[in-house]
Amino acid sequence: MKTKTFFSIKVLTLFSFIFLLNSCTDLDEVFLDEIPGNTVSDPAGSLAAAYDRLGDGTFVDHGAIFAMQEYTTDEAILPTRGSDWGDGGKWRDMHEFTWSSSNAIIVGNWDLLTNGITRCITAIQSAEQSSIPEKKLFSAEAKALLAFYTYTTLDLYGQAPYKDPMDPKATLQILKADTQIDKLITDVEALIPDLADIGTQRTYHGRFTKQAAYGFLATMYLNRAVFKDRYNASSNFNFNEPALSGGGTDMDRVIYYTSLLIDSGKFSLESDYFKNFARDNDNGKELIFAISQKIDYIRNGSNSFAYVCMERNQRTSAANRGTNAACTTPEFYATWDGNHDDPRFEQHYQYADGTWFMNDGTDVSVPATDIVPKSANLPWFHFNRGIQAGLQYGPILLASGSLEMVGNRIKVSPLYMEKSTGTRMNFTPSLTFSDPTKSVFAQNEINQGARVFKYEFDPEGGNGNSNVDIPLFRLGGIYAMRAEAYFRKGNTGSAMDDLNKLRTSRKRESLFGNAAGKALTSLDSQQLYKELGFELYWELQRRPQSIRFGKYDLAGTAKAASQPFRRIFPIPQTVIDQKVFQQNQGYN
Amino acid sequence: MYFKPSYLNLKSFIFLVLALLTIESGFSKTISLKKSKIENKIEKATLVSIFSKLSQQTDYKFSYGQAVIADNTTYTVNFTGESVTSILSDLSKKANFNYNINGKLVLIQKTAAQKAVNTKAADKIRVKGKIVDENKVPIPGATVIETGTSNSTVTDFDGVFELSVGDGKTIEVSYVGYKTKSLPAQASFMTIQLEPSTAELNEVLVVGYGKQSKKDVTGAVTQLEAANFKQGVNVSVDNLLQGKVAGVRVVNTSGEPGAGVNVTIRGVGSIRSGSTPLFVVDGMPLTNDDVSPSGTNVGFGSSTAKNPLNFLNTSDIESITVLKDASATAIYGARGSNGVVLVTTKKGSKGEGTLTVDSYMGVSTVAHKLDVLNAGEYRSAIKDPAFDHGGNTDWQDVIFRSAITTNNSLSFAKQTETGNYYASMAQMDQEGIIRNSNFKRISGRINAAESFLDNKRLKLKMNLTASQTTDDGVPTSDDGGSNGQLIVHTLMANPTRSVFDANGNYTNFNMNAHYNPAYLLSIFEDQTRTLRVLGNLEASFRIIDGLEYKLNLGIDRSTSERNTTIYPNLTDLNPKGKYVQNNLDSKNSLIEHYLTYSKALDKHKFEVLGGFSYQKFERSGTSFSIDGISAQGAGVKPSINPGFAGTQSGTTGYAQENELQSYFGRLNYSFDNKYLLTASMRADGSTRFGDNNKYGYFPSFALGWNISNENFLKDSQTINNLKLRASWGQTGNQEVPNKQTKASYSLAGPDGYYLYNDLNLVNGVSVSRTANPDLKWEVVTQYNLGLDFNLWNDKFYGTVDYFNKTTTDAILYIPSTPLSQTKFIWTNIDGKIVNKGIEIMLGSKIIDRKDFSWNVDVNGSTLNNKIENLPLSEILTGAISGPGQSGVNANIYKSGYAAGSFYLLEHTGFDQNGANVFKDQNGDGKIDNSDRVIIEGALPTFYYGFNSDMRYKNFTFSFSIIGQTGGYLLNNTGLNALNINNLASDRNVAAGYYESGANPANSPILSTLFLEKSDFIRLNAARIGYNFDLKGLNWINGLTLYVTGNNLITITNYTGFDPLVNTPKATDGNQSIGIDYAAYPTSRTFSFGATLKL
Repeated sequence: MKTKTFFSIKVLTLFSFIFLLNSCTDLDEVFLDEIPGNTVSDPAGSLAAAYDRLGDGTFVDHGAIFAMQEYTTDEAILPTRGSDWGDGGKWRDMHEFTWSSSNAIIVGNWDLLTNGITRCITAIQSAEQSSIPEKKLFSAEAKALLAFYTYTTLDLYGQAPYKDPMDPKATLQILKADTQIDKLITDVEALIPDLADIGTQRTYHGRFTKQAAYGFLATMYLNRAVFKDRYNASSNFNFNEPALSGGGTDMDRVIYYTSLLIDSGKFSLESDYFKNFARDNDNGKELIFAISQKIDYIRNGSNSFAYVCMERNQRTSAANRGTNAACTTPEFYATWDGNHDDPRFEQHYQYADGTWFMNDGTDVSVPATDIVPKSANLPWFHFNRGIQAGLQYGPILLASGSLEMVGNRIKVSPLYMEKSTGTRMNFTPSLTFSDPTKSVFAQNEINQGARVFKYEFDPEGGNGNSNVDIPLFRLGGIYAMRAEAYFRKGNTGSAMDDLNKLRTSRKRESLFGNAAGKALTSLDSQQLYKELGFELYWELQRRPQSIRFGKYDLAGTAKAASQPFRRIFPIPQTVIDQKVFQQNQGYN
Repeated sequence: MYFKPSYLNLKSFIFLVLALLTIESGFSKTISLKKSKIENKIEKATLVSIFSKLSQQTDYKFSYGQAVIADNTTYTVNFTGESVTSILSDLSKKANFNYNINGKLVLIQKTAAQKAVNTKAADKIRVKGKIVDENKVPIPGATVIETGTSNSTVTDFDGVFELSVGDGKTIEVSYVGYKTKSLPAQASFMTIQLEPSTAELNEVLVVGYGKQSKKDVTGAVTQLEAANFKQGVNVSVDNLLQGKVAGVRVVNTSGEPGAGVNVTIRGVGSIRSGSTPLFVVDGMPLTNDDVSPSGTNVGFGSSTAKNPLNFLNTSDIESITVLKDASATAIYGARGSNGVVLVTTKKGSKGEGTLTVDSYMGVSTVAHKLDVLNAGEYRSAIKDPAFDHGGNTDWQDVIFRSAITTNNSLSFAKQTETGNYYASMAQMDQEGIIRNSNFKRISGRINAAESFLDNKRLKLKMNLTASQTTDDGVPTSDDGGSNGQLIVHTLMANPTRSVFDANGNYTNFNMNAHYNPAYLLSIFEDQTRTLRVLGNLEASFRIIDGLEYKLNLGIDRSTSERNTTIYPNLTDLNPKGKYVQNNLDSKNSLIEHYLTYSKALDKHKFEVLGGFSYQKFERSGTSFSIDGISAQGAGVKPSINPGFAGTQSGTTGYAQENELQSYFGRLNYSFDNKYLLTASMRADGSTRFGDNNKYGYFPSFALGWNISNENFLKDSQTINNLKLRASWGQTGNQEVPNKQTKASYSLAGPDGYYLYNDLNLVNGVSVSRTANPDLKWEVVTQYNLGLDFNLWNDKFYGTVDYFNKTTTDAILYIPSTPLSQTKFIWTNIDGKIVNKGIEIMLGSKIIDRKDFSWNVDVNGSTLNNKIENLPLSEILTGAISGPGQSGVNANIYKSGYAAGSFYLLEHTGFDQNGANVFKDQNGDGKIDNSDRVIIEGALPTFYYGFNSDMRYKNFTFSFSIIGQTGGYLLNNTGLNALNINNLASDRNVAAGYYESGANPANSPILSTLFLEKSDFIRLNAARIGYNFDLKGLNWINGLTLYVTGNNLITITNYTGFDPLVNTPKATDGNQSIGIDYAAYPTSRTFSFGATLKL
């Protein structure tokens, strides 16, 4: 027995030994559909990815940065409309100032912006490690974009993460708005020599050029005082602190950089204001730095800013509709009182045969000769642009799937709300909530609110895609910044000149005799604030403007007066959970 | 790409050959005899080698037992011209054996004297006989023992034995699965027939890498035989378990034929998606991955893949064994933590060849229609006359139908003396209760086994099955979003609308998100065709008695193509039409070597197992879509020629593989059939684990005590069996996506930018993950304490188990540290998930008479689940679907609460205007997200099954009841489709909401208003059968006619379609629990069938 047991143990051992030698694999994971490795050796690809993050949601979707910069202000509100747009209260939070650190918009934007920072770090590494001819240019652009993402993060959250791109073992640093603003300014100023002049080295307004840097530096100087003293109880920010360079004050630097752009001769104001936000704005004369968008069925630009306002029964073609979401507030609408003839307020559309879309009940039909690009011959109906209020008219979609026609023209009819078919589509400038503190509409109230048709609705790629380039720095905004800087320096005359340049360079449509806008004759802080809104509404500038002008904390539609701590947003709870960041004051 | 298994096979075969050569070397040196003629040679050799040589050189075959093998003495044999008889005669004297030449078979029996047993040869008689089964087929390998001694022998392959026993003594004959028979020894040839044992106790359980007699099992193992499967129409094997095994919860993700099934054993051990047990079919571990692609969203939400287990024909399955505790599952290491389900397919059975034909036809209808307003009620409910469209339609009747299922299967099988085979073909054709949805399967199986060499030294077994399934889907999904999907549109379609307009076309509701459901059905096609082949070859080679080498080679291959088409249509969902083709190819190959050694020494019994396993999983797929396809009925269908019309978009592809390399061992030891010990260990290496953690080690220990074998209970008439079991062990879970441990990137258009002024797209670097080189398996440490008992000859029997299962190092997809490559990372967290519970199974053979028998059994289990020390404040999952619900989550994972608890506003009623009143939890005078409360109960705390089996003469009647209590379901159907708000928007509402007094102005807000108890009790299946007496027709072995019903009666307060539904929809990789996403409703089925045996 013993020998036998021994024998089997021997056999067992032998077998086990052979099994051990018989290891099939070293368990090294094989990558078949990706390129393995820690370093990205594609400078163009990684720079493209860093740019991509500007679009792809971040600065082009109403639910991303827009929601934080606009829905928190008088320019925009997204109330709950019957069954729609409740979405767990995330939209109402923005306007009612009830957000917490787990609000999906706050969490989502943190992720988008910090991903932008990450992509820039990769792009810097990738460029620096390469030996391509564009090494310096790509590296400088990636660094500039890094500054841009970081600046936006600091503006919204007061803190931002950072890692040294050139040190692979770099630890995470936490940047604070009040100190980092100076570093960002000096960093970007140092990059200028390496950046391209717009139009050179195959660049265009979709790239971060020297000119983009000027716009960015002006913006940073304009907001530097707020960054340094965010919680100032009376919003009494010191805008005339000595600047970091060039002598003078912050406002001098704003004037310096904006003047570089204004005087460059490279850009000029569009007489048709709405061309800045049109499908064909890729050759826009005002665009200094914009997010280039295209409908290419691969990357696809976003139609969000146009789609978000349009009612579901407003159809640019039989294959398109709106979504009846956001509108502007009565306060903002009221700032236009007496200015409805400003070319930036509204613009009627004229069809090729001369037909105007009046949208006042007098329309009978419009020609069906405009065809939605790349469609199956779908007639294209053009709505008017700018701020749309009152009763709405337009084409009706028949059960057959076509727009209702009169002869071979598109019939124009009074419109009704799609999800409340008995409710007339009346975009009342007023917002009447049954509980004034809650921006909630019943189903038969979903028509309310004046809509902002500033960005052209691009019908080409369904409702979601667009060819419109989204401006980040535009000459109009540069004038507005310079005006504000002059004003803050006490140079009201120059401020008014710049504002009047904006007002009078724009022309109304020929229906109104191509009349230019009217010039201001006087200017005070209130009027300046209004003027900034006229030029830059819905361009993601309102929150910083309203903080600079001390308007942010005030009560408004469905919003009570708020505490200064709400001037920045909380760090997302998911980030706080990692115990790297401290929560911003007021949010604990 | 290289193919490792083939390289492996070669290597292992060489190894096998080498191993054989080593053993053979003893013979080959000396033997050079020619066939049939024995040449002049004198040599020294052991008995084994002598017999081996003789059998090689002559026609004789030798059969001998352990004693001969044990004899290592060398004997001198003179082969010179001698006949075999004279050689044997000479040798028998030297080596003390008896021999008996039976035709060409020589039976060798060592005489007892060799072992110097204290019995006198003179008192002995030689008992010869044959052991046969109930069909008079010889039973090889049966044990014959002289009562009260260790003097025993084993029958040969003819069932023949020979044993010298003391005169007047009795012998005991035993064989696994048969009742032990004891009878007085006779000198005359005895033919002993054994009766199959029906006793619980003698059951043989399939366990990991082997089988065990139930009395030797120390783990929590439950085995279901075919007769106990859930009856009626079942597409897949997992359904057969429903309500049958304590601790196993089987919940369908929807009522669609072939839809996924959610099986959880002992609770939810994991937060992320991946609590499915490991399925092992005939020794081949399957992957839990889908084998068919999920459906792309063409406007109604994306749809999940079909159940990967659909490929198995349920009538091919002989038994299903569920391994629950760590003692049983630890041998499966890193894949054992969610429990293991071993599926064993049918073999040829003893006796004459059998031919079985089974056919049934069933009719299904929707089990429960929801109560929505009819046209009349709707007219009086609406305020706006514009919502009255003049018609009268019950939209549920429009899309639901009486669906026919037909199933035909044919099998034939036989067991021969040395092998067996089973072959089957089956065809199943099931219509779904929603028009256009179908499931079709054609499957075939061949199982064959044969033995070779002396005394079945080498056994080969092959299992091969192939099946083709075809699923026709309808536009249902769990993420229809604000536009909804088919079920939502059916429920909320205005009942005053008509199906067709005056022109005979489908009425176009002509509003976004208001669609005629019949029209939606008409413009949508979604066909998935999946071919899956699973085969394995098991070889078992007996090196010496008790020591066996086993080899298991397996391959599981599937290809699937899914064609989803939405034709150009009048909705705003892809109005130009869209076609998407998704392809999926998967391959899973396995090689396993293991050795088993079993040995009985007096009262000691050992079983040792050691082995190696290598498994490789390969998956790849492609996808593309065509926009702007030609109109329905015009041109060529895009599924036939995608290039016929339209423009191509969204072309992608992927290929991934992962490997598992494992070493495992197990020791089973029992002493005197009283004390049992099992210890096992598996080391699993996975490519999915990080460089710093390549191998995980999963030990287990278990003790068993057969108390009933102790002297004080041995003679008890009451207690036939009483066993206490205790086990501890660790298992793992490696269900994490591939490629998480290393950094990589790709270039992708969607991440690119128009970098240069030519505005051409430059593809961007796309980084899809943050690498985690420390990633490892999830560890589940499980304690189990169990008691098995059988009283009064199985009049009452049962099992009680207590378990405590703690998941540590849980793998979670959580936000990564700032500035990581991606916002989430797969990582192991410090938190714990604890599942505790008690499982009870009680059974009784209440009546067991010739004409009438009645068995019942009941099983139930409690579950207490808790998350502890989660390093995050909370994880929100359970994304709600519907208008105004984007980003709204219903589930929360939070420390101190059960997995998937609900996180909602508390709805306290309606005010005088019918407005929602929510509880202001924090008293700040405002109702917002900070007023949400956590309500546990996404998992029921108690679930149970009751089964009854009755036979009276030729009638059989059985039924099965299932139920659950203590849980809630979030009725997303109600929130989405049937909200009161719909009355204000030209849609229908649930009658209950309308009557509740809610104001149609209320916006749909997630709250406890939609949280309902999921308690129910259901008559899950019932069957009446009649076995015809066909004595006149001796060519028919049996004919049974039967009627079955499924899902017959449900008692519940739940207002959705079915309280037993769970669609595990992941949000950021973490699963939702307990949400009813307006799933395809379940059906009630009656079927009639016949089974003919020839």
